[in-house]
This record gives sequence, structure tokens and C-alpha cells, in this order.
Amino acid sequence: MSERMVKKAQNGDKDAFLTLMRENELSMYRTAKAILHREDDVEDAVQEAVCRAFYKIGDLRQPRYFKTWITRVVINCCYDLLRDQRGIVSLELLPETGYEEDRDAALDVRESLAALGENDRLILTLYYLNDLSVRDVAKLLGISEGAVKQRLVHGRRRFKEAYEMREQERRAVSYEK
Amino acid sequence: MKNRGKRFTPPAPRREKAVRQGYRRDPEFCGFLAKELEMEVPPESFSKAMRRVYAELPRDMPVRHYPFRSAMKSLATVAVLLVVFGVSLLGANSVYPQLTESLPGVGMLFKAMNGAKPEENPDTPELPVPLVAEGKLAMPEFEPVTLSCQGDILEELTVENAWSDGEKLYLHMSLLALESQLQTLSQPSDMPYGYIPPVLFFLTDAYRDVAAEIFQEYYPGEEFDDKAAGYQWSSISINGQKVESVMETRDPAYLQYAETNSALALHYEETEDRVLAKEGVQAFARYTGNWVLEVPQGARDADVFSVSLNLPQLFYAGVIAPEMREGGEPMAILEDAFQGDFTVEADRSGALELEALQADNKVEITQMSYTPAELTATLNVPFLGYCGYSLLPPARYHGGPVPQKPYGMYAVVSGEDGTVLASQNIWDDSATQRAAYEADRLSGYQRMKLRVNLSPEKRQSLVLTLYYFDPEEVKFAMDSAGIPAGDLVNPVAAEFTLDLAEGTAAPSVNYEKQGLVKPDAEMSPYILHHPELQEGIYVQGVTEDILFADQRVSWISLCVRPDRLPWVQDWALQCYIGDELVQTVSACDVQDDSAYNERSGALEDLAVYNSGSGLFWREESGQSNYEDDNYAHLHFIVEYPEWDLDSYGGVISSFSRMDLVDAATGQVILEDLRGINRTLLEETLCGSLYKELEEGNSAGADESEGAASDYN
Repeated sequence: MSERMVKKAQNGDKDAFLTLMRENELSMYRTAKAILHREDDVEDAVQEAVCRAFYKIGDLRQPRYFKTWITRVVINCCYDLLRDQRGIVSLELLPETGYEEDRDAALDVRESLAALGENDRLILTLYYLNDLSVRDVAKLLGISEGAVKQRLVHGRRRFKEAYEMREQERRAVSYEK
Repeated sequence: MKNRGKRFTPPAPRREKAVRQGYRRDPEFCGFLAKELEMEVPPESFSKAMRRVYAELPRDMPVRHYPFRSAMKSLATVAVLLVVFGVSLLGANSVYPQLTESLPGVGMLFKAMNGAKPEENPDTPELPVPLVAEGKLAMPEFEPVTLSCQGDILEELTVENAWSDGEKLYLHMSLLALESQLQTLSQPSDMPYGYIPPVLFFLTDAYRDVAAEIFQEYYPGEEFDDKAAGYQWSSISINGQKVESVMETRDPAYLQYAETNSALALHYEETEDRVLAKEGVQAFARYTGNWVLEVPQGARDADVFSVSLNLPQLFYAGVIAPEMREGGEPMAILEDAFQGDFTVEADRSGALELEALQADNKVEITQMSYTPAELTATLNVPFLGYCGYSLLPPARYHGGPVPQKPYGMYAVVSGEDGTVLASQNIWDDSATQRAAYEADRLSGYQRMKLRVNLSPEKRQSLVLTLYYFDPEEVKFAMDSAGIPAGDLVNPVAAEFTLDLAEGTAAPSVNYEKQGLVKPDAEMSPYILHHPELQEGIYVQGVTEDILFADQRVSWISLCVRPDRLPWVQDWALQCYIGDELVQTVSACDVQDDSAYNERSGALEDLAVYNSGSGLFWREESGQSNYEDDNYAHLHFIVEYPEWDLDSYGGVISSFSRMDLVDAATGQVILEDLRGINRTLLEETLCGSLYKELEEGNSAGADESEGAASDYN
């Protein structure tokens, strides 16, 4: 993503806008997925974010902040959607597919990760997968940089523990076989 | 270093500490995380959904807002603080010099300016009557002189025009600078506010103390060392003799600042042809200034003046208070500025004293003189009503008209083709003047002095128009209601056309071509200058999505007649997003002093009631019509919910509706305050109100008593 492209989009160049969106599709998807879980909801939220960005990109004052700005737009769309769905329980928290033999282990990992909470999952996603800096994550979520770092360390440790636990179980299963 | 913004004392940049091992961003873990969270690749359904939304987007994208308009729109910019600090900074100086002088940073400039301002003394003899010469319309030609600069930011300084009557030298200057570079210098990177153009000025060595004090404001505790800072003072000489002082010209607010004795300042201009951020095209900021220099005594007999400008450094000062900044430089020097010479022919025959002065709508001109570079006049203006009669938002908080400023105090000088050449707020708020005026405002006059500088050129005629109010003062109300400023119908108090060939001034009606009206001076104090109240309430201002004390808020101001609403028990403001009630700000019992539970630093330590989701306070109003009805102002500041905030772009979804309710009964008092506000402002500022009044006035012109009672 270049600032030049953002400026072009701000000046009404729709192709530039579409290029920006395509370049950020994966990160938008991951951000939404970290909050929403259900694929349908993720699609709805990201579609809404694209529409909002289309009309609001002109308000972005600093093109270099495009990535954090679009992330914020996606997050807000996700929260809007959650508000609209208040009271509706998601039935898709569990994975749709997966090898049967890995199911239990996957569930353990997932349970472990579920204990992280939505915000931690979002923080991990933004930092590790979307390449945002600690500072940007902190600003996006309105928390201190220290809190972000603490949660990153905590989340990473949890993942590591879950991963190691699963590896041990795999080894145990293959040994029994 | 060429022309780079240079700060006075650069602090050592702090480097981020290395990322700790505990959250190192290693590819192995990233891959593992993506896999576990099922985020490696979006499913095909997602890609299809994206293609669908791309195809459904409109063909044309909305184009980016003009930065300066955005800044004004949100005042956004700093709601209250920057009302004082940014937009109305300059204008406010003429009204509240003590306030502007106390501002951090630029306050010292104002102090210097105001300290040098000559006292208005009614006993001061009128200016010597200039010669009425045969060749009064002739004047020497001046070829513009452009001084270029080989820098990154400054482009060129042009002496567009110059003229001298032998005693003063008038220079009309313009400066081009690269907008983007100025923005980089003036706007801290993280500030969500709009672009506030910096103040640019040249300093002369007579104002070394001013520079020192400015420095202390911006860098408290640091030692000021002008040599170490690398100051190079500007100087101007005429026929080899140094110009000792810069005459103050008392032009309109924006130009007034240019004429400080402390500096040769230049003023940001918005021009239609300015190109912003277009691909491949550099955007230039244009600054202009009228400088008036005193010709040194030893050079006054000369017929030709050889002027030498030596302007090595241009000083730059941001208008954001240091404590509000998160980065960027508050003050800098732009080096390698300008140096050049040119000649000006002295023209001692260009002055004209106008005669046969006539009155218009009870506005009298008692004296008027003209030179190609200056128009001065003394006017007697009758009482037409106060700006507060309009019920437009008061200046104190919203940048609206000063409630007790009399109508008819905004003077505009236009050319033959209608081009505005200069404008000036001629309101004199001196205690003496106010007292005399208050004592007999209906039969008395307010004596006003006008002095504006003009770009020196030959003219056949000029038009002098007095308007009810300064459009800049009501612009914010229009912006916040989304009304195009071009729709402003500013009532006319009087209009005169000056025939410079004949040396006369007579009433004229050019304003009619613009669809403006001139309320009858006899009637004006008695008529309502606002639409009828709804339920005893005038929705004065609805200002949305502004930054107030570090919070994103909307600010609602109501002007109410409590006597008409005795049934209301608990005032409250309810705000919706979509159909969902998301925020309620309650009022407190205003009769109970202890109900105010907080003091707001952003409101000059005003006592307010904080209900958790916003602030409320009540103030007694200034006069709102000649009957001195008792109005009260109710203010609600409502915060946006946390989840509706965008860290960089502000509010994601503005409130879709705001209702005023009686919380005790749940009864809605007024629904959709934004819509009501817009309607009221449109009626007040876009013509229909005054046109109806004009029709009413003409119908009852001979029955002033009866008409007055009808309107009240």
C-alpha cells in the first residue's frame, strides 16, 4: 500500500480505492474473523467496512495511517453487527471441518484460546498476522502499549502451551498405535 | 540546509526499545496462529462477497474534503479551545485583546501588536485634510517584483503593488509556499484536527524581545539565545535609510495581524485555483499581507524611493497550543528567504477628501478621505439592534456573533465589479463608547472610524457597505448546520457608492442585485431577528463530532423561555444511532447550586453537571430582543460511546437523532433538534426571515408603532 494510492483514492480514483481494498482483504478478513467467528458475519462486516471506507476515505487526514484506519473501520463494523445481533448466540464457534483424529486436540487448543477472550484474540491477530505495531494496536483499541505487550506475551504463552499439549497428545496417540 | 523548517532547540528523539522476546514476531508462530485461528486464507465465499461489494459500489467516489473547510466544519478542531485559539484568534484580538494576549505562544505577538496600537481618542484632531488634486485618479505605475527562493518550502515573494504619498510606503505582498511542506511543519502527525494554517511573519531586530518571549512560551525553561538559534533579522531600507517602524493600518481582522509592529506578517488565503494534493501537481499556499512602512525623514523629499528588502528568514508559528500538541514543531524558521530591490515613485497628488456626503438609512458619513492605498471614514451608525437579537450562537463558545455587539458594524469596501477589496469590523467596544451608546441607544449614534488599506491602483469608484454582522462570526453556525456559506443573507445597514472622479459619496442599492435586504433603521430595533420559538425554545446550535476536552462530543445549545415551559420537570437530551437510544444526558436542578458537580477546565472552570455521559449547564442569556425578554441558555455536551469512536478519523456513526425530553414523564419536548436547528438557521441566515420582514416593513412603513407591536 502506498500513500500515493491512498491520496489517489481520496481524490476520487475508484481504481485506486479498489486496489487498496484488495491489498487489505486478508487483513480485513482476519480482523473481522477475530471478533465475529461466523463466516457470514465476517463477510457482512467487511462488506460494510468497504462501503464505509468508500465514503469516508476522504476524511482520513494522514494517508500513512490508512492501514490502522481501515482496521478501525472493520472493528467498528464488527461491533455494530454484534450490537444488532445482541441476544443471538453463535452456533459456529466450533470448526466446521477437521480431521477426526485431531478433533479432541483441536478442541483443547480452541478451549485454551477461547479462554483468551475476544480482545486478546484480536490483539494477537492485529499484531502477529496484520503486522500492526504495538503502538498502533494500542491506539486502535484504546489501551496502553504496556497492556498490549502484556496481552501479547500472555496470549503467546497460552498458544505455546496449547500447541505443546497437542503435540504431546499426538505423540502419545501415535505411540499407542 | 536549504529552506527547511528549523526548530529552535531540537530535543533528542527517543527510540523505541527493541521488541522483547516475549512477543517476538517470528514467522513460525505467525503461521501457527493463522492456522489455529483459521485465518490462513479466506474462504472462497469471502472472495465472492468482496467481488460483489466492489461491483455494487457507486461509479463515482466522493472526493476528499477541502482541508480548511473540514477544519472549520468540526471546529473540530478544538471546539472551544480552538475557537479561541484558531479560527477566531485574530478577530478576537480586536474584541478581547487581553484574552488573545494571554494565549500561549502567539499571545506575545498580539501583545506586541496591541501595545503598539494607537489609542482611540475622540479628541484627537482629524487627519490633515489631504489635497484634492486635479490628477487625483492618476498614479504612477508599479511593475510587480518577484523575489524567488531556491528552497523546499518557500517559492516566491511578490511585491504585487507599491505606492507612496511620500510619508508612507504601502506594499501589497504575496507569498507562495508549498502547502504540503507547510502542513508537515504545522500539523503534528497524530492530531485529528483539521489543518490550521500557521502564521508566517518576518521579524525585525526591534522586536527581539517579542521573539524571546514567543520562544519561552513554546519552550518553557529553555534558554533563549538568538545567536545560537541562528536568527537573522529582516530589514527594509528606503534610499539607503533604514525604515524604523511599520505603521499599523487597522485593516480587517486577518490583515490587522499583518500590521503588527512586531512583525511583517502574511496571511493564509484560500483561493479557488489552489490545487491540493492532486497527482503530479504541487499545491501552493498563498499568503498575502499589506505592509505599511514609514518613509524615513531623510528620504521624504525624494521623488523616487529605492526600496531594499532584506528578509533572510521567515518565521513560522503554529496556532496549536503547546500543551495540545502531540508532536511536530510549534515554531520554526524557514531559511533562505528573500532579498531584492525595487523603486517606487512618490505620488503626492493622489489624496482625495470626499465631499457632498449623504446619509443612507440613518447612517451618516461625517468624513471620508481616500488615497489609492487607503480609505478612511468616520460614520455615525444608529442603533439597529444587537447581534444577540438573532439568537445565533454566542461567540463565547460557538464562534457566533457577540450578543451585545450592535448590528451594522461590519464594513466592506468593494471595487466597481463587486470584488471585495477590504473589510473591517468597526465595532468599538471601549467602555466609554459602550456606556454612551447604552445610555441612549435608540436616539443616539455610534461613532465609528473606518480605515482600510487597499492594494494601490487607479479607481473610478468604490462601494462601501455596512452589514449587520461579520459573516465569519456566523459561518460556524452555518457550517455546523450544513448550510452553504454562500447562502448567507447578511442584512445591509447602509450602502454608499464613492465617486472618486467627482469626490462624492451617495447612497446606492447594489446589494439588491445580490438579493440582500436593508431593514429600515427605524424598525430594526423593534423587530424579531429570529423565527418564532418552537415550544418556547430556539435550537441555537447543534455542533456535531467535535473534540472537547479530549472527548468526541456533540454540543447542543438551546435558547429557552422557561416561563413558557413550566411543565417540564427534568430536562434531558436523548441521542440515537439508528433507532437505538445510545446516550442520555440529564440536566440538573439549576436552582440548586450544589447540583453542579464538576468544574470544566475546557470551559474556563465553569460549574457544570456531569451525568456520566455528558455535561449540562445553564447560563442566563444576553438580550435577545428590545423587550429584554428573559431567555436562558441550556447547553448539553454529549459524549459518543466508546464503541463508536475511530482512533484516527473520529466518530464512525454520528447521532442520527437527538431529542429533548422531560425525563420525569418521558414526554418528548422537541424531536430531532438537528433538523429544527437547520430550519431555524436557514430562515435566519438564508433570507426568508428578512425578506418577510422587509415586506412587512414596507407594508407598515407609516405605522411604526403598530408594526412594532405586531412583531413582538
